[in-house]
Amino acid sequence: MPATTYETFTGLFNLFMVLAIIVGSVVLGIMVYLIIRHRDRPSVPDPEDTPTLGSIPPERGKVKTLLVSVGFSTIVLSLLIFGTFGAVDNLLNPPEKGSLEVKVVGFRFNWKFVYPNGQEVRAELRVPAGEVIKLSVTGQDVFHNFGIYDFKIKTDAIPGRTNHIWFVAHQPGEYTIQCFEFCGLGHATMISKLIVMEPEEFKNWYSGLEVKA
Amino acid sequence: MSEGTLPPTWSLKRWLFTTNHKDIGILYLVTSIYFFFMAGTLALLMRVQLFSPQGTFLSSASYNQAVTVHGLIMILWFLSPFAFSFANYFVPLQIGARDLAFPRLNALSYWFYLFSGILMLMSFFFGSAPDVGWTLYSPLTSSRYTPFLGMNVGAAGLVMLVISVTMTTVNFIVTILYYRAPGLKLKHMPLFSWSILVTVFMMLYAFPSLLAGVIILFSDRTLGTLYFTSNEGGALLWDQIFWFFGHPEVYIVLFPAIGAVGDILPTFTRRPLYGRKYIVMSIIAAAIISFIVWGHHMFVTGINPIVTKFFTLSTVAVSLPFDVITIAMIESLVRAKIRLKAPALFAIGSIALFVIGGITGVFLASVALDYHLRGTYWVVSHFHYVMVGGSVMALIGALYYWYPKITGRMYNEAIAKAHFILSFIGFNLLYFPMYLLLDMPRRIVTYSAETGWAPWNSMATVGGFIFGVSHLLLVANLLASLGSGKPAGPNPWQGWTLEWSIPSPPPIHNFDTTPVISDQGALLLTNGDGHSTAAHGEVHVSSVHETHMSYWTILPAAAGFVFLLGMVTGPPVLLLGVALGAVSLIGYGKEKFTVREEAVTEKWPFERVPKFKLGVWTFLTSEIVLFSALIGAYLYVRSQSASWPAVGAVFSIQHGAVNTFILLTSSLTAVMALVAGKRGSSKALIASLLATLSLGSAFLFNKGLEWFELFERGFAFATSLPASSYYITTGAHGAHVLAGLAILVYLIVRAFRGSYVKGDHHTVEHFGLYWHFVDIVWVFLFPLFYLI
Repeated sequence: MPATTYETFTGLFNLFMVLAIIVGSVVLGIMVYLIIRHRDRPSVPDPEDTPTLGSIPPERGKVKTLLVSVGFSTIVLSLLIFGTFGAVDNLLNPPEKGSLEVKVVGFRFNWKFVYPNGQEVRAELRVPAGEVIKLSVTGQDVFHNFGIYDFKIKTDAIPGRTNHIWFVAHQPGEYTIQCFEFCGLGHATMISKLIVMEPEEFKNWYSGLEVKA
Repeated sequence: MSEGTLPPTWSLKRWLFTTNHKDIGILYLVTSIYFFFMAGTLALLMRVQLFSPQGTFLSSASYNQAVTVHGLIMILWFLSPFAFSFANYFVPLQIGARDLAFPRLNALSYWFYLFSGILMLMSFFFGSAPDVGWTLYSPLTSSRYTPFLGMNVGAAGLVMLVISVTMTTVNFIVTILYYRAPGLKLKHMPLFSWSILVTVFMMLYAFPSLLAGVIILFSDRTLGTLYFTSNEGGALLWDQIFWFFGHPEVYIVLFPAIGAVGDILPTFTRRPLYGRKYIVMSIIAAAIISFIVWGHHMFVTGINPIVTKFFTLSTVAVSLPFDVITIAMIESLVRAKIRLKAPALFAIGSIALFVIGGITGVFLASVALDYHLRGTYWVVSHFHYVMVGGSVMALIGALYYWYPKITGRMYNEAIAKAHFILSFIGFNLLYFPMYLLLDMPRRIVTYSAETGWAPWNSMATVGGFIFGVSHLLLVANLLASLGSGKPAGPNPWQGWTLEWSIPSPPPIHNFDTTPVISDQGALLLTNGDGHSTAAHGEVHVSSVHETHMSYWTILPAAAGFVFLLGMVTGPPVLLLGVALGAVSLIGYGKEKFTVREEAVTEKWPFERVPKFKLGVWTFLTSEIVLFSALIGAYLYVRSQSASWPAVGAVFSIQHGAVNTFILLTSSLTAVMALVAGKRGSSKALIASLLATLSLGSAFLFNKGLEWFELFERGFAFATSLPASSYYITTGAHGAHVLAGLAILVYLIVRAFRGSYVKGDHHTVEHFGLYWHFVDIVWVFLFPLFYLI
């Protein structure tokens, strides 16, 4: 089964986090050690190359050390870039199998969802569990950002442009859709509900939607 | 006003009219610290609001203004000016100069900065301060969604600030490249001065982009042009223009701090900086790369994935020079003798916080991770770690470091250490929980309890107050020590840079005789004793014939303030501004102001370029960037548009061709004027200048006719994008022609009185450079608007 957006993000994020914690701890740990070890004490004499008023300080340091550090960083960063590029392709390209396509329009201050049957629903996005959901997102008035943080995806909702994201929810339940780009007085309340239903329930609801027209 | 003197430090006259770089440095210091506390208070108000879910302390409208003004003030009116207070005070000292290259321009920079801040704060009284986020995204900033005038007033403040910055840039570039003491090659410069040199070059290339964006925004809001409100331009166009400025800007606020750390470390570790020249190279590399990473602010806008992958690569690449800088600074601690006084504590602390902030920035460089992290508190935490932890903490260290030199007194070390501990704890309590809020959107006025975000928010609020209160210790300490601090002497820290070779506080003229650096790197000093000659009372330094006061530096800034306010409120105030501007510029031009030029200075690589010419070239560079941004915006919206008027359908090629001919001929007459001046022929000079004036006026007249015809045909500002882009771009060009004509009038009046002949022709040459530039811009505009 191809990875969900949640899994893609979390896998990459954890990789970054592990490396971040290692690198951060090592660097900060070395700093703390050096400060304690080489702190000024009366017994410590002034080093030979102490800069003094009256002369330009001598050069100090081996370029090799810096190159080794840069080389090491490049390796770590290349790993992260490689992981990133793989993940991006995953995030931008939904799996091929059957999907539900919904148009999303952000406006001040909520979201409306237009289903394939042309019906529009405000503030609530209902989808069947287990199916790939493809969203085409745009903004009606100003720059918004459509984000579902439980599925680790978001995309900008810009007037005149349509952006595409996808996700799949395996567990039925209620999730939060929120706006992540500052858009005015109601930005904090630009919240919609994402309701993931059992496939059967969704089918019933969806056909009911058609009839209401 | 006698030369070489200044009124005493307690007199208002001294501070209103000084041009001395040290005084200006103190003015910037005090003003920027005021803005720090002001914008910091706004932040604390926000933190109170966010302490618990569904808070009601601030309304949505108030919160939105607070978050916007907090960001704008902190980044533009606090951080850089704070850094430049030290740059003003210490760069001339570190390079062995008497003052900046253009002291009156320096004073102008400060007053423009102050008045621009007043404009920004006045916006609160015009309906509402800007409440659109410091990033001013479109179309939210359009008059449709942000109708109140406060947004225009804030934009006017931004324009004025950019003018101040441009003046500072020109001044520092010429000073550092032109006024170094004999033997002080660029490679010998202390790291702080190096960082300022790189910073001002970045400012030169970045700020004009912001100016272009604000000009277009202003035009959209007042004239109804369609750049940011149309779908073809719109959000993405502003995104590109703003972030092209915005990303270099955040390094602009960081590099002076890195430079300060680079000066503090050798002094407090008693060893040279490790890999100093690689640190310098890395700063330069980071500065250059910073101009090609801006797309990481646009990762999820839907631009081409190939482009976003490129920006991931470039953003990750920019972390490499920072890696070198950090490692080199940490290596500097090895086998050192580290004196943990307040400057060192803040400097080393800032490196640690910068490491954390930098690492989390790498997360944001990944376009894949950005799909979740964008617009969340992870971003907020990252940039506060680097900007506050990395930059502000280092600059506070610099304040403690240089306080003894500025005031001649030592601050209280125990209170300073308490400040450090409290601020460090408060800082981490405030910002670290925000990493855990990586689901929480930015700039929301409130959140619900079910999200579970409350505990971290509460912790952050507590941390915020501890952090804010800790800085009161700084102010109390420094103020009290003014009176009761131990006398510092010239070199309390045993530093090696030139500023420590003169008394504390330094005399007005800095060095009794110019320092000279021998080939072996030895500084030959001639001013050794520690007695301050600039304590209280008037200073008489009779052997020096230079001016340190100008009565015509506040008025131009006030005129600019009135003029820009008039751009918002209407013609009466606008015309008053023009009148004040004319009066002040004439006064400025006529004022006698002497700057003592050193016979010998290091000028590489500009040995044969006179200093004013270097200044004019620098200024013209910023103009090139400005017009590149404006023309780039035009090309962008054109490329996004499905259709555009055919050649000749709207614009008359004849009008354009005639104007081109007129303008090119005027360049010829400008050259003829210079030749006449060099030859000593006053009559020919005046005739050529008059011809240039006539031709320039004919250009404007012709353009006016053209615009009138277009209006008649229904092709006005708000008609369409082709119209908007035409009027904005050619209008900006026309404004530059008009400015040139104003200068010409001044030159002609002076020429009638016999100026500018035989050796005095340089002003005409400088005008010529500006005029040719304006003509070259037209040579681009003509084909781009009329022929394609």
